[in-house]
Amino acid sequence: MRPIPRSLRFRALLPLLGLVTVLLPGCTQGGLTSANNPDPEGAVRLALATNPPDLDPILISDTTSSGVGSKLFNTLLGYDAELNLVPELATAMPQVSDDGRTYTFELRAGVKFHNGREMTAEDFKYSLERLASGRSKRTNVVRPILGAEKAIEAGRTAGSTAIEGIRVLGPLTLEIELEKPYYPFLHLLSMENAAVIPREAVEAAGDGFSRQPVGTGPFVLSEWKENERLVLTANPDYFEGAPTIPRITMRVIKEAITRNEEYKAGNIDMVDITQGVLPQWRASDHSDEIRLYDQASILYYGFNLEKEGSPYAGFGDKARMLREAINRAVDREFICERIVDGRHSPINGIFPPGMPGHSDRAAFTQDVERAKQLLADAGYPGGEGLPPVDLWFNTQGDNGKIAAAIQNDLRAIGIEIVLKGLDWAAFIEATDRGEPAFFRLGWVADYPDPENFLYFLFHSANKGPNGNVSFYGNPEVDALIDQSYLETDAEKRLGLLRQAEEKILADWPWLFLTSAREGMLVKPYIRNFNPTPIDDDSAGGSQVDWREVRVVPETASE
Amino acid sequence: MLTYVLRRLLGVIPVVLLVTLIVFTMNANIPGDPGRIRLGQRADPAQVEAFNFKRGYLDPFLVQYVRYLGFAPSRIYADHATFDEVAGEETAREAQALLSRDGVTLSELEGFAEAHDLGVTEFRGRGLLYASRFRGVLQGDLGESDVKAGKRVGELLGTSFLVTVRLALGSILIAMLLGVGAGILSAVRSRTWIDYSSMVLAIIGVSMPVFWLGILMIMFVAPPLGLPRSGLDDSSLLQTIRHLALPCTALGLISSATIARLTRSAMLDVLSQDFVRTAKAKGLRPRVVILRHALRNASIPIVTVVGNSFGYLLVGAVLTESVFALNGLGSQIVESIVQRDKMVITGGILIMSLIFVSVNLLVDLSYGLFDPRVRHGRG
Repeated sequence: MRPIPRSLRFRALLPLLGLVTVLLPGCTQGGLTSANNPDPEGAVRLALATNPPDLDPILISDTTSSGVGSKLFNTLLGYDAELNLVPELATAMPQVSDDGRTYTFELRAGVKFHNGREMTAEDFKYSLERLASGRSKRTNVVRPILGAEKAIEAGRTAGSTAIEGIRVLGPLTLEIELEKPYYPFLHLLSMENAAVIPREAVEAAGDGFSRQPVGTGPFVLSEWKENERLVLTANPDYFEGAPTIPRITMRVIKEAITRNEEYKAGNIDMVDITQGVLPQWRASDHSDEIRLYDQASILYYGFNLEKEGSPYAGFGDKARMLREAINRAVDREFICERIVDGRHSPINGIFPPGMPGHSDRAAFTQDVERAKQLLADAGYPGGEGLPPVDLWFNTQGDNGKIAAAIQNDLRAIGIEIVLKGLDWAAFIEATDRGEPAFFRLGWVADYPDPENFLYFLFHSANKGPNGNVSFYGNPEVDALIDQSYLETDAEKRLGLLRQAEEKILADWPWLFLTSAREGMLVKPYIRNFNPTPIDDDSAGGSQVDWREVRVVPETASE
Repeated sequence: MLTYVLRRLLGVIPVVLLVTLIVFTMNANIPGDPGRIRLGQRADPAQVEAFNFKRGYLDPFLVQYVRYLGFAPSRIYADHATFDEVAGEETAREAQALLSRDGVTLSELEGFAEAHDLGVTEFRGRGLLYASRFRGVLQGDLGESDVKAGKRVGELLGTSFLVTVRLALGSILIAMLLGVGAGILSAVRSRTWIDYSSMVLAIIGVSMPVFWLGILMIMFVAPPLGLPRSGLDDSSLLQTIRHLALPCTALGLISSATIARLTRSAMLDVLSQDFVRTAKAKGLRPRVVILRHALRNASIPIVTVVGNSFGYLLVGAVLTESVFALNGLGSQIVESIVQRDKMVITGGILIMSLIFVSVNLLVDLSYGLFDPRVRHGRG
């Protein structure tokens, strides 16, 4: 149609040229990216999937904040690599009074806050009492202490108030008296929430303390650009000696794909493995960098033992045999290897691997013949006369696939189950009410103590929403758990809890399934990074000893 | 002209009032109790109620709204951080001591309040001291985050707004260069392979999810060019450009598609008019005819769509921000919605509405620059 002006031909390309010039500085500056290029100054670079909401110890209630907080703060007690309680800011494990109610802690001398002041017993009293204030998210940590209820009541309207049971006996001596003997209290004291912080820093910053926290920990928070990045610098005055690495930088990268790309490019040193991508990582150049470690959690399908009309309910021999038959019929290996890519392993009891109390008995395995025999013994040969049962589960992740695999295994011995998938909120409401006869659930340890599993999941005092949604009630088990609270000898205590576990296993109240593993990729030049079963994959875990973590470039290690 | 601008600026006030009122109404009615959100799912109900009381969430809706705007004083309680600031440090310490004492009576508190110019109220049978001050939108304060303890809303949104502005400016620049360029070329060479291929590209651009384009760029464009894949380092201009190059290009490419299609049709319209033929007949060079005569006359719809795109880029780049790990305004607001951080939601939407109103105003004013026939302020 119209003649094409020649001069326009090239001028029209100008915008493209403009684009190229925008990109050009990158070409000249970027240089080669290699997958293994540690930070030149030896810092460790992490990515966070979320911005930590709060770093004030009394507000920490999520894994990211607790991961960051653990590097900034210290508590009276901590854990060793086997998750045994060990002294942290205390010089030794506390003296316990004969009635088991009073603990006396001697504190380390010369521990300095990031602001340079030395820590004293008064600081601990102040920090623990803050947990009772109206602003605290974690009043439960101090609740077992004598007089805490009253302080919490007062704390709703006034600021933090004194707790009767916390007493300063000397500059470095702290006494805590409990309402009644409660050994797990020592675990509560080792949570980041119970960290020591300096009063003057809180009073100067007010609510802003959560954005500029001051502790005694191995790292100091030196920069926090909300939703962008945090920089933790090594604390040269740390009481156990300064960390080896100069710095930990944490970039907030919400998108998993972007985190993975940054990891491949060598811009971050660790990355979490999100659901479903493990096979891709295995097939990639990074397969040697995959780290799977046990997580203190269990997955089970519970039977509601008080459900009326359910053949699986109650403690009669027939019901027990039926429940055992189901346990024998299921192929846990298949679930672990084929459905979740090896991110689960079959369990052998209630306490998951890596937890104190975990037994060395063999894991539950499939035995179809035995299952059929049990079914026949229970009066339902080949499943004849056994009504189909609904299996309730929340439809997240691989739950549906696992349920289908189990449905298949049970069908093979003649038991019909009907899958009933719900969203989490609706599901948990129904299980709390005790509506389903058969349901999927899991439990992640709050603290590494078998009591945390037994008390909440099996003590008859916790039937319903508190955790015992199988409505399991066994006076013998209750008695053993109750007795464990009074026992101060760690070995004897563990013995009691193991006995309780044996008794529960004999009743087959659950279909015992698997325990999960956390997955991360860690660059080979990061050394001494050893997550424990209670470490989350975010913010470099909360129990890892970051003072020991080192960055050793490949060439230097040879 | 000046009266026109003033009139338009006055018009902003009812818009902003209406927007905040709507958001406030919505916030008041969506599920999610601020106290429970702040203190956690298993929080003690009495503690939650106390939190809500102190933050004023138990007051009638209109009271909260008026207070938010800054027409009524807000109350700050003795255990609250900013109490010191308002009441003075010493008074704050005395107030705290008095409240922590066992069995303090309401009349005692009243006496103390009167002596120190404080207010006193009762909650669950206990006296509470408060200081008060005016601080709301009118005083330039958007309040405090419900979720992030001790974080001012203005500060949160301000930081992310700066990120977004840079992202949007870069993107609109790329979108304009590419879009207008491709549009002109297509119009001038309409119904040739250039036209068809650039319009096919434009259709792909319009339909390509920016999220996906961003991922592709991170995977395949960043490595060969040595560009950073995500995040923002604004230590220098060069670093800022390097970090924003990919997200700006991704966003810009998408918006350029719309601009190209519109430029093409506007140009085709103008090119077929008589004055273009006259200009050509006068023997003007084709470049002058196209850029000076035709483009200028086609500019009004182009400026409008560029202005609109810019407005959307400022508020709607959530997905791009998320892929490239940028802390922009969009993702900040989405996060606050997910977390039910009501003060940030309200403040964020207030800022968004201001952005839209101002971009619209600027676009309207710029018409006069491009087309002298447009005059403001008459009639």
